[in-house]
Amino acid sequence: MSALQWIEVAVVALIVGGAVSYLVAYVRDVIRFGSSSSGPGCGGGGGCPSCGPDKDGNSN
Amino acid sequence: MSLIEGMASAVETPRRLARVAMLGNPNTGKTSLFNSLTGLRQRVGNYPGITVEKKTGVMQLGKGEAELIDLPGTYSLAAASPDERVVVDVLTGHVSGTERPEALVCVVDATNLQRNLFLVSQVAELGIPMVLALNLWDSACKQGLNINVELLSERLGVPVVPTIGRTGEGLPQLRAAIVEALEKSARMRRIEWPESAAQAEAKLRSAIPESVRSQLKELELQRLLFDADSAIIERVGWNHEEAREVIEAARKPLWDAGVNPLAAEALFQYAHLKEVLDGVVLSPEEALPRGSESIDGILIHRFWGLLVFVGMMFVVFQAVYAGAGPLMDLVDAAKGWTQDLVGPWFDSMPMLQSLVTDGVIEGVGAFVIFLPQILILFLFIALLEDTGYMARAAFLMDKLFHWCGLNGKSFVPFLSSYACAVPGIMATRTIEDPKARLTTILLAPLMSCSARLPVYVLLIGAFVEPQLGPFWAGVTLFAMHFVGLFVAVILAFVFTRFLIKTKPQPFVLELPAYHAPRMENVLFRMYEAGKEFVQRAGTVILAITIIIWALLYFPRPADLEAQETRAFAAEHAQTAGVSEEEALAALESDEELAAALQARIDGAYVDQSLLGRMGKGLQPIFAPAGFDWKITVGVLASFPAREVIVSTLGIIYSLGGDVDEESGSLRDAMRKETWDDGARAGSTVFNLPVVFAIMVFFALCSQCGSTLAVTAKESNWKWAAFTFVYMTGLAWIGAVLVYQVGMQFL
Repeated sequence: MSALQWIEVAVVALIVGGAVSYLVAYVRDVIRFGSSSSGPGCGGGGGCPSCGPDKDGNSN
Repeated sequence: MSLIEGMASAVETPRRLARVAMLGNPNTGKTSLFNSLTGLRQRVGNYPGITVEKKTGVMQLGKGEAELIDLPGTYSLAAASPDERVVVDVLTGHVSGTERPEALVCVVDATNLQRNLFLVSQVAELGIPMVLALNLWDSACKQGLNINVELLSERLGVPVVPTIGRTGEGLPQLRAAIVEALEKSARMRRIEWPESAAQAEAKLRSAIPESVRSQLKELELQRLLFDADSAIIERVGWNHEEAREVIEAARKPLWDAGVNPLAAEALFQYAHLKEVLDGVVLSPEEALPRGSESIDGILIHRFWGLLVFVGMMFVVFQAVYAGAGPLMDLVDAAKGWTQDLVGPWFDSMPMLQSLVTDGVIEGVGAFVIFLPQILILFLFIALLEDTGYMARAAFLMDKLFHWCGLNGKSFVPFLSSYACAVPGIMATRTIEDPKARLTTILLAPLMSCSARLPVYVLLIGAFVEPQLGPFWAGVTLFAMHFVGLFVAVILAFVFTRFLIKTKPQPFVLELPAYHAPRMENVLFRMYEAGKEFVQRAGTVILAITIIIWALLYFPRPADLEAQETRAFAAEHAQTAGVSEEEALAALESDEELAAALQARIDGAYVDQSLLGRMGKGLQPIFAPAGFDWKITVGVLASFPAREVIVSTLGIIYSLGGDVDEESGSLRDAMRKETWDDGARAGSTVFNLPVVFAIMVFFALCSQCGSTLAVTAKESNWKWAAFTFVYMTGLAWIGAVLVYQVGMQFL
């Protein structure tokens, strides 16, 4: 493979990998809070960007 | 230096803002007033541990600023529902992360002062500085009410300001009054309780164990005394049996005075308010909202009202369908233009070019094209809400819902679910009966949310309108929005009788006076819905689109192109009666043949891709509903979020070489799609029975991760799993029935 093809494969892998990790984080947020900060509504309880820190002071 | 000036001169970190809470009865225009005071500087979250929405904003006060908390609307402090409990907990400073407010803005409906002041008089027991906003002042004036504001302010001991939340009139005076209340600690005069009530309260105070008494505020003592079953007992960890005995004993002076303790507060407070308002509200006989009453003669009539409701919904969906056409064409053209512009940048990198043009631009573009429909739908929802019609719709539905074991209170969550099931399910917290609430939670996802709209519009525009005409296209869109409600009513009947046995509860609803809609509110609602839609396109939909592209693009066998070229040349040689060498040479020179070969190669890559193989493997499950493997892939990809099917189909047909600048849009590609094999080989995949089967499947299926998660939060994961299973099963049965019955008529 030429250098250009290696670069192409790397960029595509980076984009697809980024999409997968975003989606995993989104699903985790949905299960934990009822929605992601980018989705509608919120299950509450603190610890997410919309609710602020939870009762133990954790914030992600 | 005053408090406000102190705030203004405070150093940046940490900036300390005065905390002001806004409270009032539902339908007093509180939210309009809150929006006008804070503008776009709002933050929406939740109170810790519960799913009651916490809305805060920053408002300008003189030279400084203050944090404004919009508390849920409530009629009293008898904390029966989670919303009402939050109001009591915030006011008494028992909510973690939310400090007790330093001042209150009590919003009352100026047309109904006595009833609205009941809550205000209860809150006065807390001794928090207060301002009274006489909202809906314009309605009061129209009704001929003459309210002596100065006299009312003098009797209550707090600033009183007439306001019109919808237009923002009275806001400068309200801001000045809040500053005054904070600086002068203007507290409302409290009721002088009759001897029997005072004795009962004193008795209760002395009988409560010290460990419990230390956790209680004065107001909470009264709540224990006057409320039937106070949530405060649970909060302070008092033994229920002991609490009941102590409270009952303390109520004896009230019984002795011939007053039922549970009615005592209302009796005493209304007597007190009657004195306060004596001479304040002039011409009370003019108080009847005559205009609203005469309109309601028709709009909440059991026959004419329903007819108007159905007619109005029909017009809305016709407008949503027909009005968006030109705007959709514009978005579609912008998508094509972007593909043409960006595609050549990656000519030397075909994989990346495919990801950008076939994946990202095609997938996200196929979704964003429905933005005009969303905006038009929310324009109508906002107009109907702002005029006060939605409350009438809930009233109309009460009879129908009563029949199936629910009541009109369930209609509000159902109505919210037409925008999105997530806030709809959250809105069920206003239903006191836990069983009726659970039933509503389980059924709310059946309402046709805005995510279903792109699916309906794509299919109706591609197949129903060309075959049946624009009128029936509008009728179909209207009917699809009632499929879920129709099924929900039947299921509610079954659930409330056999699964979650409950009886209908009485339904009390305040009908707000009609208002001319305020354009600012309407535009704000459209902006919020549009922002949400575009945000979703740029985040979740984009991520899913990229993953679906990868699943449809890989693997790429090295010899597939050569194999397909040889097979195509052999077929061409046979049909044209030439040698294979001549056929191969023709592929080089004939542009039409070359394009056909390229489409075949693209199709072959998609066929053997990971998602292609998965779709073909699972297609037999959906074969009874007439779905081919591409629709099956779309359905499977849509389980996290149903609108993903539009992007998925866009990518499938784009990667398969069906959608390009030659063949036109996704709609054209779908129209041309035919069965390769099987009983229907050669015939089009998307005939009307298949189209209606897909729409019914999407109307009934549980395809939203957020909705399931919120269902679990509001009930538990067992009920969320039940929702997924019953809705998906129902969707499959519905789709199969529609297809099989429809095919009998073809």
